[in-house]
Amino acid sequence: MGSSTPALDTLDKKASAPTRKPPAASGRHVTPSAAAGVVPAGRKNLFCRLRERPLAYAAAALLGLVVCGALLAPLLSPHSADAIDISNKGLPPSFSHPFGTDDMGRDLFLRVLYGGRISIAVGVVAVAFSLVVGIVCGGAAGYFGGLGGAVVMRTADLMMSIPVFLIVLLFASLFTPGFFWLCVLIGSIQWMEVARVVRSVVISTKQNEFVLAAKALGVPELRILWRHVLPHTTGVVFVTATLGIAQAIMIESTLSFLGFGLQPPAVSWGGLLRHAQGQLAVTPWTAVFPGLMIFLTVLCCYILGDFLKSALNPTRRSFHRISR
Amino acid sequence: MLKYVLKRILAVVPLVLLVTALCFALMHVIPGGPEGVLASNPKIKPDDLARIRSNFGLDRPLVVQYGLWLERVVFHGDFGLSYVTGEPVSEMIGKRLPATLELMGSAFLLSLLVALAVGVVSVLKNNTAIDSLFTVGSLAVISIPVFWLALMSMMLFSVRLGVLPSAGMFTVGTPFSIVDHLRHLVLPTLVLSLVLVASWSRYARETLLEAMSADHIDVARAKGLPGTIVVLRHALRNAAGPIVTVVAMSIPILFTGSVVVETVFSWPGMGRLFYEGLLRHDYTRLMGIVFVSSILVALFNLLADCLYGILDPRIRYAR
Repeated sequence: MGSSTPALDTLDKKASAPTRKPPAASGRHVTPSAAAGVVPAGRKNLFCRLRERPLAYAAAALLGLVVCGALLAPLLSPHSADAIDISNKGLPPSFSHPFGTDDMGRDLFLRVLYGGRISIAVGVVAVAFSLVVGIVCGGAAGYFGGLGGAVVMRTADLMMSIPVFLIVLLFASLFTPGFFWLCVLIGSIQWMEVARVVRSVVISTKQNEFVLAAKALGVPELRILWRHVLPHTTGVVFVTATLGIAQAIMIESTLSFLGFGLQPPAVSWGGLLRHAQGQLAVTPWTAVFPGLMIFLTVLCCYILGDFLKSALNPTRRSFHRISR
Repeated sequence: MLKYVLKRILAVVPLVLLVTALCFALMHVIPGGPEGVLASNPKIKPDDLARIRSNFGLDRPLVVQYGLWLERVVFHGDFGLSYVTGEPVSEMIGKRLPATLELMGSAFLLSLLVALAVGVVSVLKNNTAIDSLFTVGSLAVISIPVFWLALMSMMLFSVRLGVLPSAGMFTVGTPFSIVDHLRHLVLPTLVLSLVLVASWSRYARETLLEAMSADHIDVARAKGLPGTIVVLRHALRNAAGPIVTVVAMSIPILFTGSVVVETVFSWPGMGRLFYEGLLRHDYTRLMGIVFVSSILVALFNLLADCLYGILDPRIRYAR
């Protein structure tokens, strides 16, 4: 949950901040609360709603636990993640090795926590990249339209209708990218969704009178886009980002499982599973736990995304009609 | 309608051109280029390499090479020879394609049936325990990594229980029997379809719920039709179009999934051929598979568009 509050926070501050520039201020003041499609709920409101939904609350807590575990990994276990200990190889889960040990006697619990660092970091950075590209492209395409906008959206459509993952596999296998380029690679097949949702919100927001007012007052176009239109996309961007992290983690683990992710010693959850594949009959637990972690993390992201979708968008609560 | 179809077919062309050009460029940018495999072989001398380069036309400008490749593919269906095995790539793909289509087809049909059934049931039981169970269940299923599911099911059914075979299409050394073949098909199909089922059933539920709020549904209800008939006959018709679109959009997922599933279950299909090609940097093979996959995906999309027109007459007349 921690990741979603800061931006909403800034949005709140923006709304209540003392107005320094009188002309733009009226438009600015209206922005967060006006009924223009998406109304970002306030921070307190969002937390209250999270409390009301036990499933989403549990997901947020579990996700926080996984992230903390990954960050604090060395403090949580007396063992060392890379120390090979042949006398303890292939031990099933026990009190001193909660997830058991692998075929070289390494503590799987610790290796899973370290793997989480990589998997989660790749997910977050890849999504950050896709957000930057998606917001710029979608925002420009929605606000300015024209030939450039058409080209951007056609490219997005094209990329959504080809087996793009095959090309990602090709890239990853030919270039064996490092951390940064792997994130760029994953982000480059995720920006389309961001661009699509940002564009549609921008198009509906720019019809508002406050945009016209800002234009009449001579506010530069880019500033209107940045200060008055883009803040309205916060809600959908959060939802897309949360779901995007889940997908990025999934893509990364698939790449690593096939052997085209980050190379050892950086072993993500997918990499752990790749190693476990050969030992299914001998040490099955080495295949169970890393996958379980991917599953739980991705599931938590999806549940949170679902929660955010309904919490940040009041227009979706219209299905009571059918349940007569 | 015919004009529309022709227009859509023409729209496919730039797509395939773009994808193949991208892959082609990619193959030549990497260090060593396409002949990198040969160069790493100690038995091949530098002048042999030069001869091979000129034989394969690798010393010509990139654009010319791409043009020649495209000409051979389009007019002769010839993808060139594999750099690793020396076999014609079109033959390699031709041999593997049926297995992939069989796997994808069975997974596709299974997921469509299950997803529609789940969608209909959750609309009928809207806001009940069953509905929320399905909703949470589909979220959970979406979150399972395909390769992990493959490993787990293999571990459970093949290693622990020993009821289903873990790899291949047939039992080696036994005469062909359809039962044996189907037993091999079960696990890969189940694993591949689970991913699709989850997202499709969620979407089916949403569109059906939306369709249920239309006026003609109220009329049907007022006439006293039972709920099942209302959903199946009146709501499903309106929802069918959007569902077809989403189904077509997730065809690329099927290709991704088949690479993973075929690799884990050693299913001798195109996905595994692609994976092996990746390991060996066999560029003619990879180009060929990317080409065939994009064509197949584009065809499915085209089919879905036509189907949409048939299912929803409003679209047909609007064109």
